[in-house]
Amino acid sequence: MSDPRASLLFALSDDELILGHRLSEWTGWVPYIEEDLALSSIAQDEIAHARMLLDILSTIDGRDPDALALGRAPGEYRNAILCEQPNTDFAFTLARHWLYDHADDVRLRALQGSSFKELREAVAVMLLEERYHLEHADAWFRRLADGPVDARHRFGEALANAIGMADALFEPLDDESALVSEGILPVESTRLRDEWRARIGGMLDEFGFDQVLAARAEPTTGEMVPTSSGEIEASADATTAPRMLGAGGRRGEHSEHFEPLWLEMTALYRAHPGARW
Amino acid sequence: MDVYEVFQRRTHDDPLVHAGSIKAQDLEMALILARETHFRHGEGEECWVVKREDLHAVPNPETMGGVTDRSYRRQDGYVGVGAKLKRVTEEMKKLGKSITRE
Amino acid sequence: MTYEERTARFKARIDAGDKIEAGDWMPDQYREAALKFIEMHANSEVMGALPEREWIPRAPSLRRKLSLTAKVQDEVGHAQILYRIAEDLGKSREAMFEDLINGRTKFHNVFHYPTESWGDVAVIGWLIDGAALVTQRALLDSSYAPYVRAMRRICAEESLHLRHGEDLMLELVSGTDAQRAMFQDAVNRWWRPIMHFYGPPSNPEKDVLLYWGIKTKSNEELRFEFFDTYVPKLWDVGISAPDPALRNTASGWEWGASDWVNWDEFWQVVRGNGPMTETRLSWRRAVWNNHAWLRDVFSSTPRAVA
Repeated sequence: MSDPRASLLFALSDDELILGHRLSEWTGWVPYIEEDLALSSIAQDEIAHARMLLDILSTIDGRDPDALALGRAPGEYRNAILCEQPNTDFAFTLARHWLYDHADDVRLRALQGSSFKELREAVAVMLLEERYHLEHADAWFRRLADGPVDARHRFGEALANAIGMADALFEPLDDESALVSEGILPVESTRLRDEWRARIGGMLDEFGFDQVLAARAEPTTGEMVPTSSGEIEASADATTAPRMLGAGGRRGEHSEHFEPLWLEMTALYRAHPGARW
Repeated sequence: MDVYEVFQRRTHDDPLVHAGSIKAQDLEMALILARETHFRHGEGEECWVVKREDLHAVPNPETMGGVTDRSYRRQDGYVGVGAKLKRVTEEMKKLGKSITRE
Repeated sequence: MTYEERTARFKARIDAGDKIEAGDWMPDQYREAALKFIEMHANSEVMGALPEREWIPRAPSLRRKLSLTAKVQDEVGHAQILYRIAEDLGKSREAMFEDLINGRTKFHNVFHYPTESWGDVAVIGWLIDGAALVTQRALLDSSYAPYVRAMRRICAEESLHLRHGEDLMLELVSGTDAQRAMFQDAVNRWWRPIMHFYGPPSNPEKDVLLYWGIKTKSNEELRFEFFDTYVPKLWDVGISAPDPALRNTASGWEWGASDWVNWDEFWQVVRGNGPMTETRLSWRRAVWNNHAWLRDVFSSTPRAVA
């Protein structure tokens, strides 16, 4: 029998780990140096949050946090597929950041009332750092939404491309009913999703992006972007991923972008079993 | 973009000192970015930014504090006063002029 | 006062150990030399982030993933500090970036090479950062005051990086045979670029940077400081350096076997023909060119909506 707490922790920590991994790919590449530093700190926050959650998971699962982060098979990862999407360009990265961090905030606030003490304590710490993520994401949102026509257009497209996958951050978890009935997840995922939709809907409306919530945008063409290895190539467009648009991650079903990410992220760890680094 | 000068206070009773400068589009962005450009290692308790053009240096700093002797305005104009007090007290004691009140 | 007289007075200030501030009058030669040197330093920090960051996604533990990201972030942070100082000498950051990505300005030779294993991360973190710290500490005596202030902060961070690098190295040399071999192999590949990093032995009399006090130590002085600090440690952990001439003799260090040192390679690399030069610059060009729209956000382009 699996512990329902594990299914929640896998979802939360894998979201943070995989998104942190993607954001850390920008370190050294952001075409505005001050922002490179800010985004790198956010990437580090996400990875550090994953580590904190994996420490808790480790006490339930038995494997050590590195084995959990880097030693699982691809199908065992429970992150939403939004997180694994290539960075594409700075517009997509910021659009995902804004959508994700508002969703994360909604879910973390709900988890402040969890019956699971260790998680509740970790969430209190995470929320302190997430506040900066929201300020950062909102500041960029306003500048791009209010910016020159090209920036606004790219950002609107990116939001439309990401919104379905962001919705699937609230895809019900494996043991959702047990999690809710035991008060581990005090609010069910669909209600969290509605709360998030209401929150982002206000800001989207205010800036004339009301079409985004209903978006079923056509796939855009690929952009030249830095990939995980630092190579620049024409990325596959993020919009070819299934649409929930974008669900499946919570069941371990990922987009085609996950496997290359997983290979790169885990290869060195897996090549030297038992080694210390 | 504008240049913003960044200042820090290491702990609350330390003076504000210059930490460097950044480029930002406006004040809000400068506040968001300065946090990670200059304070990500926990360099201080407070971080301040000001647009460079809003910082004005007092002209002719070489004449600040006066050009003629103004040492009477500063500690260094009173070097030796403590030692002098000590010496005079000793002398008075020797001469039996010091007063004790008991 | 004539230009020559002002220049002579300026030179006298430098020789007396006076520090120059950004707003001070300075001869064109000084401004140009300082700008070129600091711009090259800034370029090296921003290009130096790239070889290491390739291993952020591959880091073998969560702790290393975090510490390597933070370390590369600091290098980017150094670029930020240095570009600001260079900008205040009279060249815009955009112009410096355009020159860099189009191969018109230079960056340090060691950042033109590929990183092939985690051993390279340890070599960069320990030996290359160590080599750079030797040169950067010497810059604490530079005549250009804003540069000195920047260098104080940068050296403090680099000391931390050195601990990070030493820690990486120690895990590898005390780890499995494969890990040890990984580190030795990386040292073998990187040792020549590290020797090249200090430049060929040169005549300090002819060095314009020494003349103006922007730099205060010659290539050879710095190289020997590096040997003093790192070679004994390397030998202590049983790792060899591939230079067959390297010896610590009673009269000082001997190094640079003539059939090994290969200065042609150095000149090729610093002229922009290193193994990874064009690849990395072309990636930077791609990101830069794809984000012209982002730069427009910062300019005064009219807004899309009122």
